[in-house]
Amino acid sequence: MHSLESKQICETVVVDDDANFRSYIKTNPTGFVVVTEPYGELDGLTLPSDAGDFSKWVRQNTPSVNVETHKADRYIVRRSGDYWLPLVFLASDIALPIYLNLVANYIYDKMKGALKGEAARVHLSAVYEDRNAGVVKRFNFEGDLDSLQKVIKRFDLNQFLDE
Amino acid sequence: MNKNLRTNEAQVIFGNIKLIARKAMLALNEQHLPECYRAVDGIREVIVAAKWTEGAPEEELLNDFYVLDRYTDFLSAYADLWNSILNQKFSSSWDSLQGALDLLRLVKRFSLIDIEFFEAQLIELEKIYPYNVFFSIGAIVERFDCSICGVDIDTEECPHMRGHLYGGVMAHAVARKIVEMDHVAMVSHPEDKRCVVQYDDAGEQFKLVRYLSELIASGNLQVLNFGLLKFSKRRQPNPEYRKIGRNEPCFCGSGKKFKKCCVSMEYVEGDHVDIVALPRCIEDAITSLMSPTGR
Repeated sequence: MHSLESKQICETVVVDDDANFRSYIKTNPTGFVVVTEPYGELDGLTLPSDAGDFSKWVRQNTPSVNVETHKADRYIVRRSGDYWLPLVFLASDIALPIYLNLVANYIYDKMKGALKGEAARVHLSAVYEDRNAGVVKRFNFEGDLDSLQKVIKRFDLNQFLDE
Repeated sequence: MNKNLRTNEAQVIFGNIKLIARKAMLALNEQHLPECYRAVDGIREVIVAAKWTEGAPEEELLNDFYVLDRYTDFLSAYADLWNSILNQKFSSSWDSLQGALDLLRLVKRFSLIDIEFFEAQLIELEKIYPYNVFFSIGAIVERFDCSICGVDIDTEECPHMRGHLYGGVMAHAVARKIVEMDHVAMVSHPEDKRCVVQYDDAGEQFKLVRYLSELIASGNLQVLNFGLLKFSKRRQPNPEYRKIGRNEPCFCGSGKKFKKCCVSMEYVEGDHVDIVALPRCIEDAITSLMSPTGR
């Protein structure tokens, strides 16, 4: 039995083995692709159970963003109250803060009807190309919606200062 | 006019059932549970009759009927909750409390019906239960089918979104072919708070709920007057304290002399909770039910 803590993670790491992302980006894609991943010793590739709902929500609510989804062999269902979003590869036309805004809006929509004091926690990962640095990076986040909003603001501020 | 519901037809029906809901709440407050349940049944009859009258309702009205049904379910669950507490069935009262909160979430999500009184009261009530950690399972599933159209809900062929209303029916993702159970985790933020360690109703864990039950049963507090807990620290006698010779080994078993160990522990600081009656609560509850504009 595991004991899950309510910890917060917000990190950006340079990806060493980025062959999958490189081959994705070579196809000149737009939007983002939901990527399947191996899970433990399970045969085949998996997605978290919220992956399909999230992709569908983006397609219905932001049709300008192209969403592709790799077909999963299995889905991982976690009955905790957290939102477990899939790993995504971002194409060059969608900046990380834009993707994070989509996630925030999705969680906000899911939390309609939440009672006072109830906060959503979200787990997400996105791989993207940092063109300035010429490297591929992976952004990992685990925390509540307020923390996610702060991260988005920080990215926006950094972008503003860079311009 | 601000509306609690999307359609005028449902707004009129809600106006009619609010009067019966008020009657149900007054009966509950006086611990006349059968009368309360009869009033809730009366609300169901009004809604059923309205559905027949409407013939082939539009999508929005069907969705409003869903809200009215859940609102009625809430009143019933609310009565179940206090019935269980009054009958000292504390373990099952937790399940009723979670059921009532789930129904409030649905009413809040799909309407502007004023639930503020119940929301604040039940969130406060949750705090006197002994549950802080919950069990959560993980499983491997092959796919999810839509509860409405039966198609894989994650594909484009299915037009429905999980948790949304379609013609008065909520779309759910039904797990098909659970390949294996993956894990059991202990979490503080579960999807379902009903997954808890089961305690005996007579157990020490339900001390606070039992006290609340006794307050209400004895007539010292009315159901709708419950609404505020004040948590504090208070010095109280240490039940383990033994007065012994200063040079004798300490009673706590540390091996130290009493004077070097627990000599000053005659009183300890403990958690204290005051259950504060809010005399205006009943008026708040009834006013919110009676308000023509909701919030």
